[in-house]
Amino acid sequence: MLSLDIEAKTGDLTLKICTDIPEGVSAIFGPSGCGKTTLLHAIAGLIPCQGSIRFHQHVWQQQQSRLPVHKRQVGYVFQDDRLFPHLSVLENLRYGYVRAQKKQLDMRLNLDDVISRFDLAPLLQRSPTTLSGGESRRVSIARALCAQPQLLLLDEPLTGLDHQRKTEILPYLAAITRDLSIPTLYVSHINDEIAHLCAHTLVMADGKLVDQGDTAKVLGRLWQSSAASQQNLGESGSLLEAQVIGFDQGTAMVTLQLGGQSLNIISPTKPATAQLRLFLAASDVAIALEKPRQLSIRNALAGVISDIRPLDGAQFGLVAVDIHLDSSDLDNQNHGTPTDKQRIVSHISAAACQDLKLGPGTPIFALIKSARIASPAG
Amino acid sequence: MTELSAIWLTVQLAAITTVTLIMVATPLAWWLAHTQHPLRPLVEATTAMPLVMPPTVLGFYLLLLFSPNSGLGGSWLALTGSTLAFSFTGLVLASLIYSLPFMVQPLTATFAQLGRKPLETAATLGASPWEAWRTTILPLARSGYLTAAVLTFAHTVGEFGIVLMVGGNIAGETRLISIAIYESVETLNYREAHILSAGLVAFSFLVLVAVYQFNRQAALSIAPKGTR
Repeated sequence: MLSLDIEAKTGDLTLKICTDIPEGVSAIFGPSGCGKTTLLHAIAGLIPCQGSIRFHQHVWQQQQSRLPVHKRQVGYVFQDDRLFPHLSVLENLRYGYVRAQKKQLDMRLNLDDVISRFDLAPLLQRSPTTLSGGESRRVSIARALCAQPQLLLLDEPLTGLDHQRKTEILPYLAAITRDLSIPTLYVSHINDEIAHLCAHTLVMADGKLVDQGDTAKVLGRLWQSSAASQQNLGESGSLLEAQVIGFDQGTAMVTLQLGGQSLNIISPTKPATAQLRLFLAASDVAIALEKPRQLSIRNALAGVISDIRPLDGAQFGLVAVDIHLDSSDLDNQNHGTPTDKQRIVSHISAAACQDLKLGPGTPIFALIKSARIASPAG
Repeated sequence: MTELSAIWLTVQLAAITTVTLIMVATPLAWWLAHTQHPLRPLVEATTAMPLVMPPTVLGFYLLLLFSPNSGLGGSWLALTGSTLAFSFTGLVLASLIYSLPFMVQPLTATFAQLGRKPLETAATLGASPWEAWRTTILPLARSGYLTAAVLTFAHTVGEFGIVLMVGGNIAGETRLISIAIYESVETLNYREAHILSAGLVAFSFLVLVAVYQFNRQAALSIAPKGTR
């Protein structure tokens, strides 16, 4: 969909990327300052770069000839929102919308639809200067969509928001990516956002692409190279794919099935899909040798340790335990050869690891507090 | 009433200077606010020169430049049949030069503070560069423009040294308020000097009050209706 072969210099950073990004939602993941924002700027045409950029059959840049920003039809949601303070929320939304109408673009997104989808009706007459952080982020995303983008660039759309605001916005993002099928590049350094929204992940470091592929596999490889902790990339963890088998409104508990084992998580609403992607932070997973009783932690998944590695740097004194979950599901074709989706990672202290005499092959129970699993989007 | 003609002439000069400078200084201030060009400090210093030079020095050199013996003054005379020195046109040219920093500096500061972000954002929303500038920078720089225009207008009204050197004292042509006040004092006509001086003081004060009031409202009206 998007073919890049570009080189750009900003300050100390040299961005050099040559890749093909597939259709759908792709995450661009990496530590602060690795060039994620610079890459988005180059794709949008906001900074000069060398090389070529192609979007489907359109050439956006080829040697010296560059298509100007306003003709690329990219929707860009900036980290700092950048709503126009001299215009009302409605006028902000209409800014790109009327220009798209004038250019007779294919108006796939109706203004009223976007307003209702993002619940913006009560805010329309307000000034952007009076909006809360979560509200202005919503307006900012909606404004980008109103301009009928062919490609959506989201630069850390949830950064700087507290947990409540994030859970307020995540469903909107999930809905865009699910329903509107606009190709999207999602920049983040937080891996549970990526796990929820993006099928494909690109990992960057020092202005270069270091890994790319299916999100679950990429996150798995990141852990193995221990690059995640070294590069200060949010929390390490694992991505699981589970089936929804029950929902109890009274206790707000969703019951999931994972290779024949059940897992409970908290969610205010019934999940919209039968399949859920979950991100489990490694620091939220504890290990027990026996199935515990009389404990507030409700999830105990049986598994076998496959590997233990010491963590270094800021996480000195910890070990990462790689666990393969037991699967009693005989229909599962992957039975006996666990895939990435049946693997979880736990960070425990090196001392605890010694006391429990853990090692490869030890059968254990992985304990996970329901409350610590981020409520999945949509 | 010689005072009335002096007042009218002064207002005309200040208005023409202000309007012309808004158009001349906008691209210059935009360039200064955003360029990385090595010549920038040189251009910046040149535009700021009228601030630090004694007005009589500037006036002296402008007088030489405007005289029919110089290249500029000579070709002006050949083209129009009138001299630049001791004419209203000469005064306008001189005012444009000595009031330039009063327009350029507030605008440069405003543009630098706004940065390029509004333009980038507008471009991603489909606006062409000029359209983006007109619909974001121009309205956002409104109070900067007002400050610059008022400073320029007031400074042009109050200038004395340069207009005396370049324009002299020809009633209805180059005799401005400040010249008229000086002449009244010289001839011990204190009554007329008082009227003009007190008038200028009151005018300046009222203009400043109006500007500050407008700026306050502009700051409030950045927030559209229904939010105040």
